[in-house]
Amino acid sequence: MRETTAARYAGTRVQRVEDGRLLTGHGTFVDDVRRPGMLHACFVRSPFAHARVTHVDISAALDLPGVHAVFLAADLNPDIREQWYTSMGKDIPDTPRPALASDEVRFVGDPVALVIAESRYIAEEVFAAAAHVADETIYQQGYAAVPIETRGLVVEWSAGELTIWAATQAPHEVRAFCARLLGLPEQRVRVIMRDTGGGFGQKVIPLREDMCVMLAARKVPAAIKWIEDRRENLMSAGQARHEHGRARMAFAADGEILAAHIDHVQDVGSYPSPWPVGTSAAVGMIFPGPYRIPQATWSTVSLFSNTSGRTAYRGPWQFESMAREVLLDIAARQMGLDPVALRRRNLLGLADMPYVNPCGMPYDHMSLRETFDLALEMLDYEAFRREQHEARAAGRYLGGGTCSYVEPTSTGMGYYATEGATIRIEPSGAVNVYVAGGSTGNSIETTVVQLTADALGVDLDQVATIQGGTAVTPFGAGTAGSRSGSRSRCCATSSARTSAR
Amino acid sequence: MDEVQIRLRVNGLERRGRVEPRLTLADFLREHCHLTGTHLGCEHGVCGACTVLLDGAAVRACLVLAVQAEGREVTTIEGLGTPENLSPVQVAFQENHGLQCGFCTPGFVVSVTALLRDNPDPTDEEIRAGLSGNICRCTGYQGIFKAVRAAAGNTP
Amino acid sequence: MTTPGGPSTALHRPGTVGEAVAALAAEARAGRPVELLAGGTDLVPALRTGTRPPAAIVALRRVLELRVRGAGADTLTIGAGVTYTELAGWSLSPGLAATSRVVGSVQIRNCGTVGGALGSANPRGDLLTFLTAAQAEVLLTSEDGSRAAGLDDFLSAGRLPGELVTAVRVPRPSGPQTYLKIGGRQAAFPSLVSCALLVDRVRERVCCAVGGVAARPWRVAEAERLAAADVDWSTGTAPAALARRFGELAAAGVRAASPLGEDPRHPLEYRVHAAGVLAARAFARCLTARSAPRRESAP
Repeated sequence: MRETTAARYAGTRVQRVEDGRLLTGHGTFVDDVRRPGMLHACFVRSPFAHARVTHVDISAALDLPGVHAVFLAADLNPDIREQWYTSMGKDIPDTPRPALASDEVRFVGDPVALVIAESRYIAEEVFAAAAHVADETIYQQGYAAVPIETRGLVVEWSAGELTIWAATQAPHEVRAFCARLLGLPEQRVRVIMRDTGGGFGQKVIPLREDMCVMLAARKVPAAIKWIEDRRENLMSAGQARHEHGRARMAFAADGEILAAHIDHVQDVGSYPSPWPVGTSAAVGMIFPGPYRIPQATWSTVSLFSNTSGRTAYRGPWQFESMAREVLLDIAARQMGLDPVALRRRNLLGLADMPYVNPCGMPYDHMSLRETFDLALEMLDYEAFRREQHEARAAGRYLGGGTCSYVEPTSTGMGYYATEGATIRIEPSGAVNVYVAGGSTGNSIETTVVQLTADALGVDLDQVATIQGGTAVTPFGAGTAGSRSGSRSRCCATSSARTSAR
Repeated sequence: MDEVQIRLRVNGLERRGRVEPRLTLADFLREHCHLTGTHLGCEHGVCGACTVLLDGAAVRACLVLAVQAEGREVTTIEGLGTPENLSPVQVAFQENHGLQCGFCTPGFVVSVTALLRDNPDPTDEEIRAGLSGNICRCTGYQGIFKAVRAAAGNTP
Repeated sequence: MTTPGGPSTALHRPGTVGEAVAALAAEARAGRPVELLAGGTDLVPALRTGTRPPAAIVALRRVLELRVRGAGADTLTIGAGVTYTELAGWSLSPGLAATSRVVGSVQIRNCGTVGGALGSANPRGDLLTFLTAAQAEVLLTSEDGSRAAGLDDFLSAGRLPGELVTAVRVPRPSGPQTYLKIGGRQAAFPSLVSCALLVDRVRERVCCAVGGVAARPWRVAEAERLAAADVDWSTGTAPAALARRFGELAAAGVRAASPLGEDPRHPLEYRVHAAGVLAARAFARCLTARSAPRRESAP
């Protein structure tokens, strides 16, 4: 067989293999899962931003018909064996993250009790309760991820094994985290995910509510389903990007950037996950962005506050981009230069590759200046400036601006360097490709099928894919950091080569 | 419990049930009829993921109590096409990349089906207004808009 | 997940107005809190967030009498159960149709009713602003009989225990009407500031109300007086400068009213300014051009 084949499918528009089921209501999202005798979980949450918990009276809740159990911190938290995320490892300086709040609540929405009832309707009733330096501080408001499907999971403890149906970006991390949390061997925990309705970072790791349901599952006689409602999602599923930074750049008289610095401060809420620091470091590392900058330094401060914790949301790139590009506009105005000319003066191009930015980030295969020039040509920048000038004379204000950034992907470090693919060629010649998955709308199913078909030189419809089941798929970090497509490409292609031999 | 007997037609089939007055139509469809294609994204009447047709009119199933559907005809996403036999609207969504994660998709397909039935040749502005009751977090709407444009072309 | 209402809520499903008011009276006599259910677009979310579910719900969909629209010689009567979608296509009242077309999304317009708008009495409610400008009367029925109340009185006093809103009555249009609003995404948010304007060429006057600024939709009397005095009623037109002046007086008028609660994102001064802009624009649409019919929609 051939060692390599020409790409027939990769890079072309094909009909997605996911669409048939998703278009007709036949997908399987976590709330679509039903298990025999399944119970429903809901949380009682703090209405206060900061308060001491002196006493929780659960007798009224237990008296309601259909209420099976009410768990408090003392019931669940002592069962925690280990609690850390694979992405960061267990030795980082993390901050406490209790399953349920015990002595103190720290934000509006902090979970205090977990109610298990026969239906979610019953569970709900418990609530009846240089030459030039540009220097500017740039602020950004907080963001919430708001996937259209809220968080949720079904956890079933049966015959010494735990099965989890999850809405997740990373089924293998759910398994690894849960096994550590409960002190179970990894092979006793099985995670199944089929369709997940968006994640944007919120479903990349299990959070406190997920921990509670995992901890409670061994204490009840049937599967527990928890489906978050939208108010809970907005209150307690984390926030991101509430940050500011003092950004400075030094320029030579002709506009050449000599140095850049950012002092970054971010609000990490009360329970940042996976830890309080990560993304802020990335803001500093990438602050030089697509420009040739010989020297750069950065500092970052994470501040705790009485809000829900900081979680991942579409990477830290927005803030570093905005801070840098707004600063460049300010600098251009101060120096009397066209903002586009100032950028073109400093943009890296293909000829500069490979390149290492002053904070140590390696760049390669980037056509930054070439892409910028193409965009200006498509916009007809000169014509726009003329139109703007004429409009201004007529009393109308038109604006134009650019923003360029570099986004790292396929991090070659630890957990995020892992991904695998297993290819099975069935007796008929049909091909099955198994990958970790974690698709939240990013079409990994179709992508993997395209790549495998190309790598094996077979038709698209001969390839199917199985994803999201930890019992059968290779370990991988799933959907995070814009990595799933490129990482899947490596493994699908190399597995295909092995299979082909 | 003060339960009420209801009878309605869902996708052409008669369904009966004893329900509490507070049960929403969305939960009746999902929990009693096991039709899980009607998705719940907000339960506040904002996101449109739960859109179904009630006597042909697009409504949010999270804002309708099941008892209000008594004696009426409900069409859900499961009544509009199958993976093997997609409706023209569903085909257009697939061909124009009108979906990604698929959670909001049933609501969009139902809304667009009603929109094109009532207005087979909509203007761009009418399409945008017709889509405004549904929220998608993945696509940025351009693929959805193109899908409606294409489906309008295919509607006889 | 949040669920609407409690487990022991009783349901009444009357088939006539008589049965509906009998159910309301029985619940009132028992001293039990009762809610009316029409389209559910306000009630169902309220039930979800409410900490005290009502003891009973009276569901009105089967009461066909409430779903009737009628036209008399001088007035239009709109049943409380008429939906926005039904009004949006009603040629007898272009103003009501224009207002109904810009309420929420199609899914909301298919359910939401005139009676629901009056029952919820959201001070930013689109329909309330229009009905205020139109000097609507609210028709109410109880076991003791029927009465008509001016919309202002209805909004101040509300329904009496046991009463049901059966319809609203507005004068038949006798000139151009428009409804303009600004706000966030129409499908997801109520309007921020709105303005309804009706030209009455028979009585030679303009009626204009502003929503979203005062504690309830507010008639701008000074501006109306200016219009009555300075519009050329032989042609029903006015110069552009008069529109500007009309807007200034409208803004000044609503500024003097008892304000709707301050909102940090939309300060009162901004909403007052927007009200003036909308009033001037509405005036211009109805009175300063005689060209082809315009689309009535949010700016």
